[in-house]
Amino acid sequence: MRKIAMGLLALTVAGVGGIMALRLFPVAAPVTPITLVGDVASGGYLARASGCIACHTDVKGGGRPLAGGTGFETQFGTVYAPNLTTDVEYGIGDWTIEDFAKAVRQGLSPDDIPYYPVFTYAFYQDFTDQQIADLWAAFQTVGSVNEPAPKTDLGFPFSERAGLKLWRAAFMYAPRTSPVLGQSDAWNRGRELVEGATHCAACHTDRNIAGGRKVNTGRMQGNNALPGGSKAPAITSAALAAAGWDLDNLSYALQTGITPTGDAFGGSMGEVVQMGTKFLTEEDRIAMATYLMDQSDD
Amino acid sequence: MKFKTFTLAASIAVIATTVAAHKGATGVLLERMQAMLAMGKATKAVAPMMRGQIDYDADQTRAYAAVLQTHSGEAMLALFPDGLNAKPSVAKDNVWTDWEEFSDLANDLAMYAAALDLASENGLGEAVPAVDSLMGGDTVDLMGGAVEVEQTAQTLASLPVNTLFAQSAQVCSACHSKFREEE
Repeated sequence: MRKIAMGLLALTVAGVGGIMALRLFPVAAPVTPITLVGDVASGGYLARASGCIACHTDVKGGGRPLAGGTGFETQFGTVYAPNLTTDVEYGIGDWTIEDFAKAVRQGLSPDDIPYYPVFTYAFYQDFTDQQIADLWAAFQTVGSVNEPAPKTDLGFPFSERAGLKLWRAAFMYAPRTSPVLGQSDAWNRGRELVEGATHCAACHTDRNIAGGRKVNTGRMQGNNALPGGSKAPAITSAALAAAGWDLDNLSYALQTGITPTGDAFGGSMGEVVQMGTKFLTEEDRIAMATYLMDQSDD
Repeated sequence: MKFKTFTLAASIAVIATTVAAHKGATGVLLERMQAMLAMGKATKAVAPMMRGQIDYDADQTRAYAAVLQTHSGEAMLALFPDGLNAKPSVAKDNVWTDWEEFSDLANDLAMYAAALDLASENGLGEAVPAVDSLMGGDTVDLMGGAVEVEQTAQTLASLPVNTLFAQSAQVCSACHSKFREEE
């Protein structure tokens, strides 16, 4: 009996020690000061492409733009999108541009606490300082909403955000945005959008038991267990072609939601178009479709 | 003999499947599904013309507008009587709890149907980015803070037909996102 008690004590000490060590373990990369002047219109465009407005606006609950509150029901519990308005109390009104850069590119709070990977920061890791400055300028135009978004409170052990440092080490993949020699400009632009800002793979790639993307075995092959219980179909080039998609109707669907059968997207894809891709230029939608229909470097 | 039995069994299976596909969808539920399918079919048929892939024909636009007019607005709402929902209909129950929003979308579609009819002679124009069509076209729109301008079929009727077609499809998609069960 005593041995068991001692064993449990040892485990607890080790566990607490482990958590303490993880909490102290630094993961933030240094953020160099950003002095570039941002362009509001370019930032707004990138914010649309990146889904900032789509995820951080509680459309169903009638919430104001970017005030957060959207709930994502994952197998670990419900994660709520925070308020990203300029509100000093509940939003990001007291942040610096460097705080913002660290959040977007590294998925870390101003205090270096990791965000849950429902936030698709991994896809934004390649954003340039200019893009960050543009986004930052655009976010400054958002009216303050002095209301807190619901707090995310997952049960232990997921409530311990320091544990996400281990998750990051295992599953925070670099985006595949770099241009490929020999491909057209449209294809490379599409790659930059699809693999980066528009983060298609966040929903269209299956995840493992720990919520990490199966980048080797399930890339773009669909996900039957999205937050909230919806499904994303496979969007490998072959799967898209088999489902009747081509460069032309796919780029058009990203604008209108119209599918090859004459149906209109519903579910989260409908929201992606409504709040994101319909705001893109035709050139960019064609670029996305060009890449999606020919993901030939895989 | 065995073959005959097999054929008979197969025939019964086919009939059973056909019945099953419509099972539950009778009366209003069936009409509801047929109305949606009719609009989808018409959308598919007219899409190539709206995208300039074949010659523009104003008659086709008016015919398409007529299909939408038949199935949108009050006509659509009549197919969603209070709480009437069952498989295989894929309507979500929030149709009735968020009735005002649902009816706004149904009426928006009717407005676009009327606008398409009025605008049929406009033909196709330059693709208008969503930012401009939100009126104002500044970043406030991009960041989601646009002030919604009250539109009517008459104000919309000055737009090119392809823009109206794209916007009407966006109404379909917005409604599906909120009120349709996805597989």
